[in-house]
Amino acid sequence: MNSALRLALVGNPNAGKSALFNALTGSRQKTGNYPGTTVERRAGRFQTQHGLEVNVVDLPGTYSLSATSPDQVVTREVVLGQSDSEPLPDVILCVVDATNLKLHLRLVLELKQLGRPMLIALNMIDLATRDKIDIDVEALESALGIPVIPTVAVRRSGVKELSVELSNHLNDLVEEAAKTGPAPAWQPQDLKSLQKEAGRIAKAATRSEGIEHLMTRRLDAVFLHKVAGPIILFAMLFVMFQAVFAWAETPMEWIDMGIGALADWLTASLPDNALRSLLVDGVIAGVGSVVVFLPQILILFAFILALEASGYMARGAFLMDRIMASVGLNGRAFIPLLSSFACAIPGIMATRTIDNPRDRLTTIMIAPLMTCSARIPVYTLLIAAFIPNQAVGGIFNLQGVVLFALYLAGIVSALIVAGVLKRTVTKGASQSLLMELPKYQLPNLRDLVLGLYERVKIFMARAGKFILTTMIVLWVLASYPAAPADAALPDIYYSYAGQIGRVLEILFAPIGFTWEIAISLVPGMAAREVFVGALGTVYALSGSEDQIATSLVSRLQNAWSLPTALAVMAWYVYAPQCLATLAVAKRETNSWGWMFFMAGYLTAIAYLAAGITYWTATAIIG
Amino acid sequence: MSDTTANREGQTTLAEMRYGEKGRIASISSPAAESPENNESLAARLLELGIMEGAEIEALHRSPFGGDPMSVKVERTIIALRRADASTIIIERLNGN
Ligand SMILES: Nc1nc2c(ncn2[C@@H]2O[C@H](COP(=O)(O)OP(=O)(O)OP(=O)(O)O)[C@@H](O)[C@H]2O)c(=O)[nH]1
Ligand SMILES: [Mg+2]
Repeated sequence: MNSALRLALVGNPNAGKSALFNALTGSRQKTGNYPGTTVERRAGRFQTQHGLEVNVVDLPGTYSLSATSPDQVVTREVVLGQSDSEPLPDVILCVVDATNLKLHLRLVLELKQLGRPMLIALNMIDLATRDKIDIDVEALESALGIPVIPTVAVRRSGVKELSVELSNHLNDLVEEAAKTGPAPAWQPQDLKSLQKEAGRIAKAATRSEGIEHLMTRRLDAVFLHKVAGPIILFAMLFVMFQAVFAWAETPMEWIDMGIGALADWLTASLPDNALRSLLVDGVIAGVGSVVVFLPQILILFAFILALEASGYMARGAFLMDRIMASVGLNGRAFIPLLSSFACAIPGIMATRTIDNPRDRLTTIMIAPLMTCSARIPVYTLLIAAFIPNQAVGGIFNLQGVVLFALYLAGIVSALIVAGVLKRTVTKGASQSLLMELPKYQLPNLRDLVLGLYERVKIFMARAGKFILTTMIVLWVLASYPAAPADAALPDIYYSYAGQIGRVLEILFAPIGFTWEIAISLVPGMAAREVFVGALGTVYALSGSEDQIATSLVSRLQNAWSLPTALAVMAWYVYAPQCLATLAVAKRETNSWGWMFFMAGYLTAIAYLAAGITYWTATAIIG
Repeated sequence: MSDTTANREGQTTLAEMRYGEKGRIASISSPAAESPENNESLAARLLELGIMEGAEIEALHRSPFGGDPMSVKVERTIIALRRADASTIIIERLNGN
């Protein structure tokens, strides 16, 4: 450990640090074509050609060591050796975007003042070449007095030179690194004079200024167009939701058939005992009913990953900023909120890029209202069971429209809540939108596939460990004690789970929830998709023998009324059914109070929304 | 150059500039109404992105909703900013049209 060299990746946001980190260490940290992809430090290691062990740390991008947002503070603390969790790095590898040399060199100059061993990766050389920018690397090296290594972080061949050069330089630097004293002294620099110096150096080292990337200008003329821009944005979102439904249908049927066949085979080949019930009703009914949703979640993620890699995300923030501003939200809240559509946890983490603490708090509080991917199984199941699959308005599918409406309900509620919070508890001057719009890039297919593969792994690991365990516990609680001999109702009614469910029913009956729903909500606290698994198990156990083969969809159709189904959907728009989100909210706000506030207000709205939905629907349907 | 009123001949604020207009940043003003602390951090954050006196700037797109925010190009960086912030940036027009 102490013999290994510590290398820190530092640079402006979106310079390609994480891509370089991945190339060096073989890890798969998230990269994305927008500023603020990385918000916390990430460690990895590799060995140089000379056999030197190197511990690398990937850091959030920062424009300056004086920056104040929580993510950039992490970088400053690590670089200055003030971090509690990360020792002072021996060598700084500063990643510079070759297509934006002047701005990026300023941070280099700022870092140079620290007097620490340093190297520069002149990244995105491919894009510089495309734009006919010609940089004299040697001139740059001698002007800065720092070794400069040209790289293309996203191509394997593009980092070969880096690993060779890094190997050589690091060998030379080991001694120097060992010599240099502890924490460097630092004072905020005069950025203006550094900027001017950076401009001079950049100019002197640039043989050809190159041409503007016209594609970015042309695409912006379309995507930010007054009329076309918003239409494209909404069309894109709509296609995404329709695709989640339409494209996933066939693969979901295959998975469903596979699971059904497995259950049938186990039922046929095992004797009728507790083990068979545990496997068929507990594990397969529970885990299986969640695994079915993998194709939908993958499609959603494919869209999000492609948007992130293309550079469109920041344009979305631009288009939506007026709406954000109208409720007093910081413009930078857009990307954390959009990330929350995948999962609120990275979304809440991404609020670290917001430097105004009150704006950040507001954003954290509303992040769980963005419909995360774990709600997809819940929504899809209920929509498939209760919303007819028919066309509306000629082109739209009613099921897709309902899904879209549920997403919209979350978004609109988030805006309202933000508006209320900004006028009450998080009152204060709102920070502006000041955001770099990155150049467009064609999403890299390999990155996309790898990103999706990561999702499959996470999803399956959750289904395998987390949901499996919960389902086994639930099966035990739902199977024992056994029902009395003269039982009139399904066995589960008499079990522990049934007893708990009936106590909870007192609370939930007014909003139309049955005791089976109430009991499924409890394991559903662990994660939203667990609710679907729990329903699978609970209804598998309450079904009679001849019903074994029927799907959860048809079981629900028999067991629930339409108002109940709608009420459950409304509940899931709001309910904080995810302990991990609450834990992250606690950590990021550093306050139990705010966590309980979040849980409390969401539960209250969930209960009201479900109730109003149930009562209204009952009144209409009769 | 240190004149902070936008009314001087040939000067305007960034918020007033139209698509494609280019200018040089003359100064970044500090409206008295705002708290100095906030303004200092705004100036610092503009500076982080390379928005400082002397920099060349080109106005680009405006949001379809009320024209706020706008996008501008400074050197090689495209930046989105809200009108309130853009109006603190005083510009010397380069191609007045
Ligand atoms: N063409 C090209 N694209 C690159 C190169 N390096 C990185 N990228 C892309 O640029 C984007 C930003 O890369 P990241 O590695 O996420 O940048 P980062 O510096 O970690 O950004 P933050 O975490 O936001 O500070 C991603 O879309 C990468 O795929 C390169 O050398 N050439
Ligand atoms: Mg990164």
